Amino acid sequence: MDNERILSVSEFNRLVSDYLEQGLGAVTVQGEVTGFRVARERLVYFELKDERARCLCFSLTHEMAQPLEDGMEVKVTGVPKIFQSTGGFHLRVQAVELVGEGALQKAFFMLKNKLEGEGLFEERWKISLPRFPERIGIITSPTAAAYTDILRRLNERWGGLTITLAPVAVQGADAVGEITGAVKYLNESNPVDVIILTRGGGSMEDLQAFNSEPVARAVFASKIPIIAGVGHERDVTLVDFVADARASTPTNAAELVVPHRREIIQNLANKEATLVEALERELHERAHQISRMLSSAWHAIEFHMQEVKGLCARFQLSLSHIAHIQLRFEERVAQLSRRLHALSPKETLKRGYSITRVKGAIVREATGILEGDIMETELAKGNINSKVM
Amino acid sequence: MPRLKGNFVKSFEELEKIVAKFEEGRIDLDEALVEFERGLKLVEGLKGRLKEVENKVVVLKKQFKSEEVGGEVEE
Repeated sequence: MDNERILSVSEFNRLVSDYLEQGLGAVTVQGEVTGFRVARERLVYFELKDERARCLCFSLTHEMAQPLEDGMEVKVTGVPKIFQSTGGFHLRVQAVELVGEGALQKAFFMLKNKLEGEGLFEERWKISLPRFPERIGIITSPTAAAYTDILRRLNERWGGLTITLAPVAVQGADAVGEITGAVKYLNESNPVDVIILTRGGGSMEDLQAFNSEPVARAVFASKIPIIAGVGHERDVTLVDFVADARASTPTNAAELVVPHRREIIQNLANKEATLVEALERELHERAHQISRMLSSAWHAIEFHMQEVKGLCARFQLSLSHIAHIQLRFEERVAQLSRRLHALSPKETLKRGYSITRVKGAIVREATGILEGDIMETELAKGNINSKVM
Repeated sequence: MPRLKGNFVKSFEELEKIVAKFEEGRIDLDEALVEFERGLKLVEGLKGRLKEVENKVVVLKKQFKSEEVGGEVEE
């Protein structure tokens, strides 16, 4: 090092910090948490200790995947640094992993109570699963048995699916970041109908990511329904509580996502039968109705036929009545005709009367008859012309 | 076989509606014949779709990460 060079305090602190960070890089330190505190609501400080030594750790609240408490055994991964302002040596935390069932159990219940208190487990937030999804997202490790189990079960049950695998680490330091990243990515950039978030069984330590706050919140925030299929039946993780559906195992998740084609084929056959039976029933009913209508129409016709017959009979009666009247009328006409005949002038002439005309006009008095007029006298038989003297 | 892509749900739900109508007897004969034929067509289409056995698998190449941890924040 150049002894001539005088450094400012800031420069010195920066230099040492960089030296430590670059020289050592990320390290993982295991110890017991002590003096855990949060300052200004976002700065997290705690110490790691063993029997003989202590080391300050620094982080930010939003980076903390696990809730911590004094007395918990943890593995902290981070880089050694010193604070620029105070020169305080510390480990800048990148990831915290809880060690031992006790610590994990404690963290699990602390976080569970917190999220439950916020209402994140409530039924009203659950999105119902699509009946027949066509695009399925799977978030898991491509090397996990859970992945191949799910693929096999999906293939057995349903076809025509597009299955998108978002490969992530399901345990270890990167798991939390990758799982939350994948949930976000499928929601924002690669929409699917439903997501299966899965991994096989393991110890509570192995399942830590699925009990972490960021993963629980990412699953809760997903607009796409998520089925959690984590571990075995007995494994319960926080993701199970916030997911839209919980599968007991990875293969069970596949069963919840798609129906078996056999069931649907049977269902379709039942529907077809229902349609056919209902139509047959309807046709029978109509045929019955028609025959009922026909027979009642026939009855109506018969009834009217009787009426018509009655009318005909009455009509015939009327006809004979009319004939009778006509006969009487004709007789009366003959009688009148005879009487008229008797009154005719010709008949009078036969009785010795005559009719006298002058220039065609009948003469009823002597006045007006002039000398030399020719008088025409009509008798019953023949005419006489005579001249007035 | 007619193939129904993308509207399996739609067809299935339409079929369910038709079947429900038939079950409840809410049909007149003219309508029934049209709906009956439609129903059988849907059944056939859906059965055809069920013959599909292949599933396509896409593996995303992306490396997923949440926001970086370890910013320059100090007391």
